[in-house]
Amino acid sequence: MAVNLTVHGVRSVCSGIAVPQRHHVGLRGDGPYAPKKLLRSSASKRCAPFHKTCLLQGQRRSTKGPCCAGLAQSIQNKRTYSSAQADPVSESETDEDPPPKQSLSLSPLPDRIGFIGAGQMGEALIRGFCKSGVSSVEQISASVRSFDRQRALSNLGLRVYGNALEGGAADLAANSEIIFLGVKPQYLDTILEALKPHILPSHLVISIAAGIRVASLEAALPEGTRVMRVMPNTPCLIGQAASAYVVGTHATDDDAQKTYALMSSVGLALSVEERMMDAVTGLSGSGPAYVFIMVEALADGAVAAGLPRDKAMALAAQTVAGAARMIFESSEDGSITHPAVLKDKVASPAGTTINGIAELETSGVRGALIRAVRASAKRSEELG
Amino acid sequence: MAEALAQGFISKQKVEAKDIWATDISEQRRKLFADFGANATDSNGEVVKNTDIVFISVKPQYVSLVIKQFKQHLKDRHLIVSIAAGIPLNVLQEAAGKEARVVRVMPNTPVFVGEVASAIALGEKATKEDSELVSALFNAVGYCAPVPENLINAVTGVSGSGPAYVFIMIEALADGGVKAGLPRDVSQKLAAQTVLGAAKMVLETGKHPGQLKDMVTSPAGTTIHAVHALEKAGVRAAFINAVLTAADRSEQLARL
Repeated sequence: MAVNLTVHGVRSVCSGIAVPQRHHVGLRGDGPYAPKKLLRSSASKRCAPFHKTCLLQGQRRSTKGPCCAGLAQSIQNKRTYSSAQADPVSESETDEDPPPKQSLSLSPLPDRIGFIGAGQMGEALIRGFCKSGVSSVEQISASVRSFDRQRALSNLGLRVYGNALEGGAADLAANSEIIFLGVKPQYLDTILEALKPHILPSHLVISIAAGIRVASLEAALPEGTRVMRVMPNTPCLIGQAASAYVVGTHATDDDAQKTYALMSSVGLALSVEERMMDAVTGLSGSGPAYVFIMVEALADGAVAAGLPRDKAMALAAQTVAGAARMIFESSEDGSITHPAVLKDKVASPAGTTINGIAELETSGVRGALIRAVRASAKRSEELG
Repeated sequence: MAEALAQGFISKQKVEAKDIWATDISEQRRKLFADFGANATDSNGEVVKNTDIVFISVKPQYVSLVIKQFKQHLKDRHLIVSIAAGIPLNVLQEAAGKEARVVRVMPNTPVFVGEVASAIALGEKATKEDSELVSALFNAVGYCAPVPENLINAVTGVSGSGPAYVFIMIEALADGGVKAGLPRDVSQKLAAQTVLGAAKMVLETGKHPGQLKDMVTSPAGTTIHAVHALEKAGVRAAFINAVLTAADRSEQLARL
């Protein structure tokens, strides 16, 4: 193969590509609640650089386009219950988010979504929802305690309510169909107490608070409230979560489908039974830490073999990301490929790879990882 | 691998299909390239005459032969890029001629899913622009690090063989999940996505993995308990040893 080349600047065009549905992580039919109808591949494949805030519209426009003007206008039009004034959108903002590698668009949900508590994780969810098109800034509101967070969220274009314990919960509940609980577990009790009087049968409550069981949520809310429990993980912050969700006692198929659609916009989403949540904690909850250790150790090995640190680190991290992606994208029909099958494919007789593998096996790495998952799961059980 | 690279370069808009020429002894392979818009021919000479950058993606034992075959068509403008494992620059140079611009790239298997981790080493006559051009192509489908040729073995140890270590890790994590009560399919998917997401965090936040690990280990929590288990088992040393052993083996093979 050979090429005649005109090199395009790397950042000047989107990397939107014609990717068939099977390449979209987390959007495969999974469990009883996989919505077949909510997904369609994005048709737009070439796009101009877009303003950061426009990402939240789920639209892609050029920097000087109508979207930004419209957004600035809508910010000025929005009422906010906080005393923070929304800053007009700055068109000189130059740090554009990199275009998403997997472009997808979901059918938008009609529901208004309210976040009680929206820290890093909550904000990552909001961005993911807007980017994927499953929701939009106009449909999302938040009630947060700190002035800085109120301002930051307001700048994104959301409607912002004040402290949940000082009336914010009531206002948010009156203006949302889906309520996300994004406060830290230790504050949940007081929040639920403030929220309870304002919950209607039409509400769906989705909790992302770690370790808080469905039964506890249901006990703290009016009888019959439809509740979902979701456990995302840290890479949610970059839209690469591995999330598991539990369907509450009164939640419907529709509720489960909506939860699946929302969480799929930030990564993989699978439904599980509540008794499996400790195991999920041990695996995907704590798992990123095991991977950080592995990447660091691979980089150390490469440095030991002579590579400079920065290249060793980049090669190590990219190798891990690429190998994990092969699990999801190696098969023709979109099913996942067993890691052992892939490993056999790359370990040629008396080659470099099988030598490396022999070291890992001799050191009992597999056992160590199994023990790690178990140790975390056991601790999760103790804490619960 | 050539197909994966071609598709990747096209989809990231680094080159258009019509500017790609390809040849293969198999008609089926030529048809495949023609089907996505490239120019397929059965003549190496045709490919070289019509292009500026020539990728050699034949099996290592044929590299020298193939280059010698089309050598007569090489002009000043040509850059030869070999992706054949274990074929050193001096072999490429000897086959192409003293003045030829040659580079060698060591890609890895995830090139098939557009997430390559690769390194490039330059021949004597290759220029800085050549390095930047080829790096840009490979960076569009993952990552490419320029290195001196004597470090290609180290690269083999970490990114060449690395995917296998990751497959083992994912399988073991999935086993752990199953042991803790998850069904196999759920466990496998969560394991793979966790590994993918965490690796992406290292790449996209630019933070040291040690820092990231600190950020996710809360006091007396579930994660630090698990980390302790990994440290007790000496997992870090196991990975360092794996990289070194594979790098050693790569060096041995190069000397054969």
